[in-house]
Order: sequence, then C-alpha cells, then structure tokens
Amino acid sequence: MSGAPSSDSMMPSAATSNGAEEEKKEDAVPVSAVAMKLLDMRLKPSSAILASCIGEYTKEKAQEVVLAKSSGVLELHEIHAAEDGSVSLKLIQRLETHSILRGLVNVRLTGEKRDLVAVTCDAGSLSIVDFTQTAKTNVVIFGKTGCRRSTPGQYLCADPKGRAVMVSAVEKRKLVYVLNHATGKTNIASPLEAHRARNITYDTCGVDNGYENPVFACIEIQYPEEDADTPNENKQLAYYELDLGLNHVSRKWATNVHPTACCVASLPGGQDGPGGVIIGMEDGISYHHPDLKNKVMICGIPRRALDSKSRGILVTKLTVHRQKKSKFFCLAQSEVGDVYKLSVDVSEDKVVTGMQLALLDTLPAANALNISKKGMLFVASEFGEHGLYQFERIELPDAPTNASSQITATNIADWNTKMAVASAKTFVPTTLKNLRKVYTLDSPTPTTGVLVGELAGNEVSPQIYTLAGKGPTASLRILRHGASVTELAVSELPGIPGGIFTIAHDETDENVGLSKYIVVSFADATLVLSVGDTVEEVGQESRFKTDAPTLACSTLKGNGGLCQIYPDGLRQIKAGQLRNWECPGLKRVESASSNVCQALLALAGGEVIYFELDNLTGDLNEMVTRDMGADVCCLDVGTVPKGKSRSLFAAVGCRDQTVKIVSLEPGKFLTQKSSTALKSRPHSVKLQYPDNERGDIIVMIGLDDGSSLRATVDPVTGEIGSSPTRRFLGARPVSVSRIPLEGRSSMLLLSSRPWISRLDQASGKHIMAPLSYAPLDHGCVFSSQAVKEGVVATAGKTLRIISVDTGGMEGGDDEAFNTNKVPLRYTPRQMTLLSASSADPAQRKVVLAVVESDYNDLGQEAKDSMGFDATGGEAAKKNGDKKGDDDEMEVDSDDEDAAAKKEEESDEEPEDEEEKEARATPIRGPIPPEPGHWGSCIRLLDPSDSCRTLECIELNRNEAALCCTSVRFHTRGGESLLAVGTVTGMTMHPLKQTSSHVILYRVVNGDRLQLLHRTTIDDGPVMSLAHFQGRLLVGIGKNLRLYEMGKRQLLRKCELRGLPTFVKTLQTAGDRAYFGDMMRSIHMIRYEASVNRLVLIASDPSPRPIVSQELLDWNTVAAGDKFGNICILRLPRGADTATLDLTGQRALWDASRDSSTPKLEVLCQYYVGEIVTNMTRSSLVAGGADSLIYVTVTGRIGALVPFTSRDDVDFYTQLEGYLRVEAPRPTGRDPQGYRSYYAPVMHVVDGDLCSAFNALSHEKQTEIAEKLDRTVGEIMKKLEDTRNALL
Amino acid sequence: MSNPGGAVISAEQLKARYIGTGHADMSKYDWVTNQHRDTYASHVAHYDQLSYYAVAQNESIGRVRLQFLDKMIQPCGPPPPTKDVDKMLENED
Repeated sequence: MSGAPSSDSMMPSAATSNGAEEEKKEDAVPVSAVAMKLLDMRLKPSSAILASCIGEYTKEKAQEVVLAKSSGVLELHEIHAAEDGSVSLKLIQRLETHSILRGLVNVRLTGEKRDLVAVTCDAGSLSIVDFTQTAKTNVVIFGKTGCRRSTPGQYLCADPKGRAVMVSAVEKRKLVYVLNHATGKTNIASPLEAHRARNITYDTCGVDNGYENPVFACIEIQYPEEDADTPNENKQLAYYELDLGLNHVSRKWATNVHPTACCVASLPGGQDGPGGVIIGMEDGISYHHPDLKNKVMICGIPRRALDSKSRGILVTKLTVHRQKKSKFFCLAQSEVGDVYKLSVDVSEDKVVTGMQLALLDTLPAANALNISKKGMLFVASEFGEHGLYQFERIELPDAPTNASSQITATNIADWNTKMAVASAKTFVPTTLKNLRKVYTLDSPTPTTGVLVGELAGNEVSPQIYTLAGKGPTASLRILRHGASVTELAVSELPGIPGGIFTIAHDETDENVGLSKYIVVSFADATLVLSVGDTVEEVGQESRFKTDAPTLACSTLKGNGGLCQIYPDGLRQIKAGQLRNWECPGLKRVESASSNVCQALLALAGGEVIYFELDNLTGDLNEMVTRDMGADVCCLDVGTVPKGKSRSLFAAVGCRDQTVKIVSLEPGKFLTQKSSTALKSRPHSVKLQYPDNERGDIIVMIGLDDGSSLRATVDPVTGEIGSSPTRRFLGARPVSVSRIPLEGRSSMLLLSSRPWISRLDQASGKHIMAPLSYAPLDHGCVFSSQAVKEGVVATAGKTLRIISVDTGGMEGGDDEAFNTNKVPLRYTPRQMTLLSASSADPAQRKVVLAVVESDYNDLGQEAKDSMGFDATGGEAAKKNGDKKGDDDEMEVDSDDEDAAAKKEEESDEEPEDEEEKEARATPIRGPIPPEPGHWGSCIRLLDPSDSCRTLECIELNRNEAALCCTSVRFHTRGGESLLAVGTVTGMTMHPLKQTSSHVILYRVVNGDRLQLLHRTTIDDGPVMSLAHFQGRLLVGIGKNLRLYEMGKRQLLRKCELRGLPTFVKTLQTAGDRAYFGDMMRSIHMIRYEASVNRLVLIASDPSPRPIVSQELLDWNTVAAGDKFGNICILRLPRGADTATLDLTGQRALWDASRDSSTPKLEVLCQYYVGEIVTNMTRSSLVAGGADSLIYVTVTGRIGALVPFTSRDDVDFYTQLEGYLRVEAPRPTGRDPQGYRSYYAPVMHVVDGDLCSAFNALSHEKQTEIAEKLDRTVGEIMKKLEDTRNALL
Repeated sequence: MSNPGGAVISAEQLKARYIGTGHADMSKYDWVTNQHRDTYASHVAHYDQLSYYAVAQNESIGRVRLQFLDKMIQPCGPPPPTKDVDKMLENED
C-alpha cells in the first residue's frame, strides 16, 4: 500500500532554516530533530462494543441499552419504536470516560424503579453511573491504575437484588462492595476482601437466592505453588457468600466444573425459580446447584453438520431472561454464533429436573446478548454490525433439540467432544427463522487497511477506502465525507439554465405545500414544468412570461395568485387577470426575491424597490424605493415566519463587499438596521428564521471567493452577530438556497461541491456537510407526493431531482461520513493500487487489488464440495416446509405488537428484498478438522466503477495471500505488476508453514489478472513486500531479500540476514528501506548499489511490537504497535552519512557492533487506546495539507494533524492542560494518564479531550476562556475551524 | 526497607501482597512464568488486543479469552525438576 512518498515533507525542515550552520556541523555529532506537534482528531469513533446491558436508566418503563465501547465511551441508547412500527436505537447520551473500559453491569438498588450501571476500567476504581445525573458519578478507588493482573476490575457482577457488587481481578483479588441508598444518594460501603492466592478467575455472576445473603458464583482455578510438586487443581465453580450480618465474605461452596468452562449465569431463585447457575463450556451447558449435592445436569448443544467432529464448540455467552409469573428462559451462544434456547424443567418444589437446548437461530458471535421486556434482542457483535432483533417465536418444537443428562460432578471432566457429538442433533445453519432483524448499528470491525485517494474519477474530494470486517462480514468500504444523496431523476434541458425555482400549490389546493411548477430560467427564456405523476412542460396556460429569464417567482398567499419577476418588471398572475409592473425608464431588474406576501427587487445602480401584498385586494403594491448606495449583487426577502404576517428583515448584498440588513416593518420600510463588511463580493444571501420561537435569525452569505459566511441576526434589533463563521466550500462562487431536511429548515450551498448546513438537534451545533454528489449549479426546494423533501437542481444542461439522506449525519460531526460497502469473501489483509493500461491505450486506469485470507477456514472449492452455503438461503428453503405455525411468542410482548407482526408477515408472501435483509445473517464456514487450513483469494476491483469486482482468484490448497504490493521492475519497462506473498498450510502455534511463495501477476487491459510466475521462498513466510529501486524487496521471516524479475521466477540479488524476529511491515524511499519488526521496532536500511549490499543504518532502542508503519519523510517514520501506541521516530541528523563504502568493510564493522548503529529518536508518542492496524499519509480535501490517517482494529478512523503555527500549538496545549483538570471523569481516570498508558505522551494533543470543551458548563467554559485570554465563542470557533480545515 | 510512614514492611509481607515479587533465589522458570502470566492477563484486559488475536486466528473473542486464561495456569509448561535446577545453580557457581 505504499507509494513512493513525494518530496514535500510533513515535517518542518530544519535544513532550510539554518542550512549554513548545518554544513558546518555535518561531521559533528547528530543533533536533535525539530520538534513535531500533532493533534489527534477523531474522524469516526470506534464502534466495537465490549459489553452492554439493558434496563430503565432515565425513566421508568423505558427500554434503554448502555453500550461500553472500546474507546472508553459509554453510550445510552433508547430502543425507540416509531409510530409506523419501525424500531430503532436512538442515542440519548454519550459519556467520554478517557479510560479503558473493562466491566459493565446493571444494578438496581432494592426498592428502586430505575437502574444504575456499575463500570470498571483501568483506573483501579468502581464507578456507579446514574444516567439522570451523570455529572455526579459515584467513584471509589481501590487499586493501582492500569489493566493489571491482580488489580480488580476485569470482572464485575451484581447481586440480582442490587445489594452488592463484586469486582474481581484476573488473578487472586476479589472485592465485594455493599451498596445502599439513603435519601436519593447511592452509598458504596468500604470493600470486603475475598482474595485467594494463585486463583485465576474466568467469569463471575451474582447468584439469585431471593433475599438471603448475597452470593457470587465464580469459575476459577488455582494454579500450583511455585516449586510445589502438587498437580493442577481442577477448574471449580465457587460460591462466595457475603454475610450481611457479619460484614464478611467467605468461600462457601465449590464444585468441579468442566475444564473448558468459561461463562456462568444464574437462574432466577428465591421465590421465582430454582436458583443455581448454568455454565457454558465446550459442546454443552451444565447446571450446578448446592442442593444437587454431587450431581450435575449437563446438556449438549446441537451441532452443525459440516463442522469437524473432533473439535469442541465452545459456548461463550449465556443470558437469562425473566418473564412474568416467575417464568424464564435462557439463551446460549456458541463461538460460531449459533444461538440456542435453554429451557429448564422445574418441578413443583423448585428443583431442576431436566434441560433442553434447542437451536434458535444463527447470529454473529456476540459480546453481549440483551433481551428487552418487549421481545427485542440486542446483539453486540464481536465483529461486524450490531443488531436489534425481534423475537417472532420462542417455542421451538421443530428445532433440533438436545436433552440433558445427569452425571456426578467428579466425573465431569470425562464429558468430551466425542460424547457430545454422539448424542448431538445436527443442523445446517440457515437464515433467520425465529428472529427478525429490525435495526442495524453499523460497525466496521476489525478495520485492517486504509487508503485515501480520489479514485472514483469524477469527484472533488478524495474518498477513504477501508478494509473492514472478518470472514463472512468482510467488506471494502468507501467513505465519503458528508451526506449521501439519492438521485431520483435526471433529464436533459434545451440549454444551460441561469436559475431554477419551484412554485408551491396555494392554500386552496389539496396539495398545499407540494410543488406545482418547476420554473427553469434561461438566458432569454423561461421554461415552466408542471409537477404531477410526470414532469411536463406547460405552455401559455401557466401565463408566465416565457420569453424572458425569470429572476424570482413565488406563490402569493390568499387570492394573490403567483408572482414572477423578470428583468423588465414584475408580473402578478391572479385568477383571471394579469397585473404587470414595468421598470421605470430604461432600468432593468438585476436581482430579486419574493415570498408569499413580499417582493424585493434591485435595479441597476443600487435602487431597491419593495412590494407588499394587500391582504384585502390581493394585489402586490409598490411600497417604497430606496437607493442602497452601491450596486446590488444579491438580496433576500426571507420567509414569513409561522404566525407572523411578514418577514421583518431583508438582506441585501452589495457590490462594495457589504451585506446590509434592512427592516421591512411598516413605517420603517427599507431602513438599514446593520451592515457587515466582507472580504469578497457576496454572490448569494439568504435569511433563515429559527424553527422555534427562541433562537436567532441566521444570515448565510455565499461569497464570490468560494466560501460561505454564517452569522446571526438579532430578531429584535436586526444587528448582525460579531463573529461570523466562515468556511471555504469550493472553487466557485457559492449560491445559497433554503431547503427543509427532516422538517427543519436547512440551507443548500452550491460551489464546486454541494453542501448542506443544518442545526444538529442533539448537540445544538451547526453542521456543514458536503453532499456526495456531482457539482450543481442551481438548486431549490422540491416536494411532491412521492418525494416529500427533495431538491431540484441543475448541473450543466441537466435537470436533476435528488433527495438528501440525513441518516448518516446524526450525532454531529462523528458520523460525518457516508459509507458504501462492497462485500468480500474472506478477512481482507492488505490492498494496493495498481496503475494499468486499459483498453484505450491513451488512458491509464487505476485498479485496486485486495488480498483476503482466513485462518482456520476452508477454501471455496472445499466448501462447495461439502455443500456449504454461506447465505443459508438454500437450507432455509429446505427447512421452510417444516416450519410450523407461528407459536405465540412468550416474551412479555404487547399482544397487539405480536398480532400486528403476524398480520404483516402473512401479507408478505413473496419474500421481498426488505424481508431478505431482515433475515440475512453471517454464517461462519465449517471448522476444519485440524489447524493449518486457509481460505484465501486475490481480488481486483475497479474504484472508478463503484468498486466492482473485476476478477477474484481463489487460491485453494490451503494457500493464503498475506501481503501484496505494486512493483515496477526495471526489466519490464516500468509496467506495474502485482506481487502477492503467500504461505501454504501455515499454523500459528507453532509458527510454521509447508511452503511460501511470491506470485507475480500482470493486469491485462485493466480488468484481468494474468499469472506471470510463482517463486518458491524456502526459508520463511512472506509477510511484507515493497517495490524498491525497480526491484522487489521481500521480508521473509528474519531476512530481507531483494529480487530481480526473471523469465520463470524471481532472481535473488542480495539479502540482509539475521534481523531480530520477523519483518512485519516494509516501506521504501529512494535507496532506503524501512521495516518494522514484529517485536523490535523500526529499522532503517540502505541499499548500496555499487557493492550490491543492504546495510542497516539505524534502529530503535525500544522494543515495540510493530503492527503498522507509515513513512512521513526521508528520515521519519510513524509506527503503530500492538499495545495501541503511535510513535513517530526520526533518524537523527547526520546519523546516516551516506558515504559510499566501497570496500564494504566499514559496513561489516558497523553491523557487527549493535551499539554503533545509530538510534532513532522518538519525536511523538501517543496512546490511541486501540491497536492501529494501518495508517496512511494523506489529505482529506483536494489540495489540503497532509495528515496521518489511521485506522484501528476496533473501527476507529483518526487523523494526526501537524500543527502549522506556534499560536495553534500554544492554544491547544493550554486548552488541553485546562481540560485535563476540568473535563468530567466518570470513571476517575486522569486523561493524561490514559494517553500515557505505556509511555508518557509526547507532543501530541488529544483532540477528543479538547472537544470536551463544548460540553462543559458555561461557568467552566468562561473560566477557561478567561485563562486563555479569549472568549468562549472564539474557542469553539477555533475547535470547529481546525476540524473544518481537515475535512 | 521502610515506607514513608516509618513502619517496616518485611519482604515476606510484600511478597504476599504483590504477585511476582521476586527474591534472590528466584529461578529463571519462575521469573518467565510470572512474566507470561502478566502478559496474558494484559491481553485479556485489553479488548483491542483480544480482538486483534481473534482476527488473526479466526476464532471468537470468547474462545481467545479462554485460551489466554487457560495458558495463565502454566504458561511455560510444568516446572523443571527441582534437582536439575539445583545442579544448574551448582554448575554456575
């Protein structure tokens, strides 16, 4: 994915500033590099959910889920049922904790009607969050910070009655906190210890035993003492009892469990059920209860027919749902994603007599399964999108079902896969049968690659291409900044229009508010189109003046009819009569604007004439004329606000670079209220009245220089606000028009790119977002029966009707991207761009190659021969006949809902697309019998044709493509070839492979791959490839080797052996190569052509396990490591003297002494919080400054932006400093400590933290602003501007 | 050894409180085992690292977590026979 970096540097170059000085010092000791300051900005937050819980957090009877996201964000979503029956998740609150979240549990204190959540993180603290008063989070600190082995926090569970919570560490330590609440405040008592030395905990849960002493169940194992000869203990289930009377915790009971046991959940107890716990393990679920004495109930899971019989399938998730009348059921999910329903037979005296496991459906493997009281299932997937599902039936008489058997606890270890397989029913995974997906929360996890470029060919801004997803959910995603647009119609026009308007139906018509006519103005004519089922041209019957251009037109209220303004005057078209007003003398109207009762027109020379509708006669009368003192370029009379009789202000943009606000109040017609000077001539101006009573009027000015200016206008005095927000939109003068979006007034701004500006209801911020659409010339609101909120626009000689999709814009800036997905077959590993000659020899075509591979999976050929169907559709059809009548759903659903659902279902006999989507589910391929199986393919995509797959080569025979690059061999005359590094039969533990290859492909005609040859590499797996000086540099295990192209295979040229562990990443520039070692950080290599030798010139003293790297310039490399850090390393000046060493002796001498190799300096150091899987140096706007764009394994896209001025550095550093103190800490973690998790943060400002300024209380904002010697508005504007400069 | 309060905490107490507190006669096996346990515990605690391994191995996160926790029991296999260690120490002396 590396391109040769351009010569311009992201770094401030020291050489230019003191070149002379440098010459003097050339032979002297290396000097420090110039400091580099970066700002970390979040483009897309990470979407992985590590835990979630469901409850009533803000009010009673609410259905809300709390999501703990991997970037330390707690989000509260409401399961929102709209009036039309559609269900969605609505974000209500977002809490940034600036910490690594680990545990999350629901707590409902005794007698309370609302839930709280208990959260643990790396702060060594327990916090109880009440979402109604998040400012007052209850935090108790008990240990050191960091995710340590023996600091509690890994596991968190609560007593079902909310009396206590237990916080456990992975090893040894457990703390129990007693909770109580007095006078509306939650009190956390001091912790009680339940430590046990050498004890590893696997999972914990609170046991339900009514109101007896709280008991916590833990799966744990005690490893033998050092130098003790005792054999390993068995894995145990232990009950820890909290004696509320004695205030003491004791290990009360323990029993052996299966060696693979990994999760535990408690069944309802006390008055409600049998109590006891169920434990998930390989191939089954066991039930344990102290009263069963030494007996254990065990129930195997039904297995997939195609999975290997020798491998156990682990149950990884259990959840218990209580229904009314002390009924309950459990869901268990296996590691491959199959969800089973566990029903428990309970005798009269509340003893479990048997269990049945029935297959419910196949879902993505989940981190959390939450069942709501209304029959909804929220699935927080490990990878891929999260979903909200609706239960359609929960009684499953036809599903494959396994029944339980009873064995003694001491023999539980004997239960094995063989036994499970023998007794298990088998099934073929299908599409959803008992569940229905109703809402999707998109999640591009894991994201493994990123590429930025304008590859689509016809767009202004670059797109971001990311590789995301794993196995069946894998996809290539194309992200574009802004909102997506649906094109509804395109039609040709006779000429290039100079303006476009729509005329709404008047109040008398039943279609009030919808568009009646589309009026297109040309240089010397006007075209009127009527809007109906089709759009047709209307001739004279519209009675418009059609032989002149139209400057403005509108419907008039009452019986006023229509008004049209053209260069020679104004025409009012009333029922039965035409009223014309002619311009006095030879003057002509230059610009005009009208609304339902007012019209304003400007004559050449700066004369402005105001017309107003007489409500009695319905005539538009000339009221007043005023000279503005300068030629008028644009004006706007505004709209009539709801409940008012007229617009009180008009905005007039003049050629002297001013915009004036004039009054339209009776008696003060056209008196100037205020004026603002501009840096450029205004091109278009619009006034926007607020949707509600309060709020300022907004004036939006489009300027000739391609920027927009947004300012507020005081609704009483007409004063223009002092700090307008300016934003550069494109290379053309900006024209502004008003459009509604989701029933709220918004603005459409057209420059070389269309934009919309709207007020985000959630954050109260104004958002400017570009539209992912071709440039438009003129645009205006359009509304019809089919399209309620559309835009009719012109582009060149075409008329287009489009609608703006606001779905991707919710939640403010974070969602400012719209995504297109292209499904892939396996987990994508790498991608590279290739320049290929197309069929047309004059044109070069850019194609994208992606290598995909999955470990522990079978190739397509093997899958097909087994009869595996990844969509599950075939199997579903076969089983379809067996599908019985719908059983009454017994989750506490509203009966109405269920009935409605059923009706709906019966209507949908032929399965439509929507239905298919709701039933689709990713199905993992069959598990192969032994390790070393791979499925892999090489894919060629065409980015200019919405990433259509041109060719996909399946590798088969356990060969896996791991890396790819574009290479141009000298000997091939610079043709761009695709080199792919593959391994065959590689296993991870131990790391070995049967063979590895480098395969070369040629791109034929820009749409096909032609195999040139395969070269066998005999001494290690190929993990990295790079084009290097007309040859191919290959990282092979511990070696780097340079290959030349030969006729039948690649030819070795030279190599560098004995590198530390494993060459993971590789990039080249000029005669230098830069590689990242899997354990020992970045190294720099130089190729000396005269002696054909690769020489190590520098290395990093810190042992960073490199995951990704990106070259910033000749001497500087950014690297991401396995712990989630990003660091920037630079070769000290003068370290690489670049003198040619002809004898080669010096290189030998240098290389033999490790200490003499120059060491790289760390310029920046930052803890991102998630593993950075790939990064690229690029700019997100055409012609913008470069920044470092990175993606993480949990789906975050971020940018490290270099500061350009000292002022910005000072401002951000100070602001960050204040916010480190003032920003809320819901989990008690110090933000600076978090960013310095592995190494102290260095020269990187945390942009997430800085944006927390917006959410602070006004007092705190003012306080900080005073310290910074700025106003609050200025700081907010600065934050916004920085972001705008990036996007 | 004393802490700021002046109270003396013996090495035994420290050892009991903090896992992995070494001593002069600590064997290489103990030291490595302790490090590995720390590493696995860290992997389990960081969700991003768990998912990174899960993607590489094409396993579910639940399975990877169980694997890591299981490995914490004896990350470096069973301890070498004590006699050999003594012999090795003697040889080194």
